[in-house]
Amino acid sequence: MARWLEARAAALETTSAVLGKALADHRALPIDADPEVLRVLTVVRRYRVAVAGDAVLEVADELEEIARSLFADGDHATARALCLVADRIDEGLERLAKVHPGLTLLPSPKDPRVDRWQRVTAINASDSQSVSPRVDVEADWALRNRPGLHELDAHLDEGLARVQPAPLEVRHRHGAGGYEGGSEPTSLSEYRDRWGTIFRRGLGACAAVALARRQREVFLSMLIPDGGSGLSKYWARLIAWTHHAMPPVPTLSVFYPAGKTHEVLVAIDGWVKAGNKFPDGTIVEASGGRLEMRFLIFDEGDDGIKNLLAAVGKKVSCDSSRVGWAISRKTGSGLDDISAASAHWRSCLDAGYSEQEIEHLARKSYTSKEVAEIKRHIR
Amino acid sequence: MDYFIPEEVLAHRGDTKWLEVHGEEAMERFVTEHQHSLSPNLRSLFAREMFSDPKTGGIYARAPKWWKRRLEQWQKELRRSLSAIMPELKDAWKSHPWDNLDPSPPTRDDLDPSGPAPVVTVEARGKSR
Repeated sequence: MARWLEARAAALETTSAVLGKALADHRALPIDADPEVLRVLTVVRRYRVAVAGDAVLEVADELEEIARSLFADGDHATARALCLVADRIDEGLERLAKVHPGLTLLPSPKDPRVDRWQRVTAINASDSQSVSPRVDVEADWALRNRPGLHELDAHLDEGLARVQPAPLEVRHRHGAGGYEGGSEPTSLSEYRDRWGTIFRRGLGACAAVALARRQREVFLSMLIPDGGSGLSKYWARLIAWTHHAMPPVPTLSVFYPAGKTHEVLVAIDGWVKAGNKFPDGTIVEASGGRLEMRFLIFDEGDDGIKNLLAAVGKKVSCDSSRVGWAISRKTGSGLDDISAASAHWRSCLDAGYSEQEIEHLARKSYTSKEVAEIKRHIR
Repeated sequence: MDYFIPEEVLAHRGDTKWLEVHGEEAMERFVTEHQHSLSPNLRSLFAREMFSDPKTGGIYARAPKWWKRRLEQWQKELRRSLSAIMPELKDAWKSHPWDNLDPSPPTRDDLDPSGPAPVVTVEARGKSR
């Protein structure tokens, strides 16, 4: 492994040097030369830049490939570390692309190589039963590693393993979330969904988890990073259309520096205590101890997001942000617990769960009387 | 907090044609009736309930056109307001010129019900073995 990594590091050094030279040559185009000569030179040097960019990306791809194998072997930590290195290479190329507009340094926005961990199907779920209007993000954060959320993750993995025979590639992260004006400890599970199977067939597993934990809604979202050219939106719309899930909604992730978590959480609680309504969103740990605040922006009510970010920004500056598109499906209902359970029940039935199995799940969080009422709703 | 949508409205969940005509009025009635609640966004709650496809769970998959137009408008406003506090978001969520072409073809709901019914044809060509 050490030898392999050494070889990749050497390859990265060589390909980066070639790319640097190709870019320098492109910058040094003799603009006062004969127009025909200049045209040919431009084409050739552009081509060299594109080839050199591809060679650098290839190194990142190899890192991703080995990360995938390590993941399958259960070495999640090394897999994550290698993905992070690959992401850094992508980021470096993105920076270069900004300095050299018009040059091909990156694959198209729909290429899965862009943002290797974000092209996933994400599921947001909590283990707090039903809906609570209280907001205490700091307290919820302190409870993020409680066993209930880990059990929830395991339950979700178990259900999704039914629909995808290949080993699941998943990252579970815990934190605090906002739902219907209240806050709660929450879990954000991200699955690499290469063939779209989880997004297409995973709603039943989400419903099973929701039924066993008395959750109103579970959102299953396919995330598509925004490449900045507008193509991402077009692509997201096409995917949404094929899944009968129009239209995609914007996503925003804001990252705060490591060591500032407490200050950010206190700022949020302070802002809510000043009489503001807490917008729906998820706050989780990001790489390197940073804090990520993530929003799926469904509609106008999410004006609160802007105000919240402005209020937190007065105390702690964010270090970066990421935008994208989400195509979402949901199971459940936001109206009341019984309507929600009935909808989950139907989703489980559609996914092939047996009546007996569903009733067993429902009995974990609903009384016998409520289960009878849910059954009446179904019929 | 529990919310109530009348049965006669819930019966039209995912019924785009009905929602196109009566959805906006039903939504405003729902908002007025629950104004006392602390919920941050009643319109969103109503939309998630009524415009989702009950078969696939697709959020807003059965949304009427007036709601889609509102969404587009909100997204534009969102970019403007967020980039005021985070300038790096100036170019976020850009649309592509192809967007004007509208990639979604007309559906059954867009057709005039009084017009002729759509016909599906199957043509087999070439030699059969």
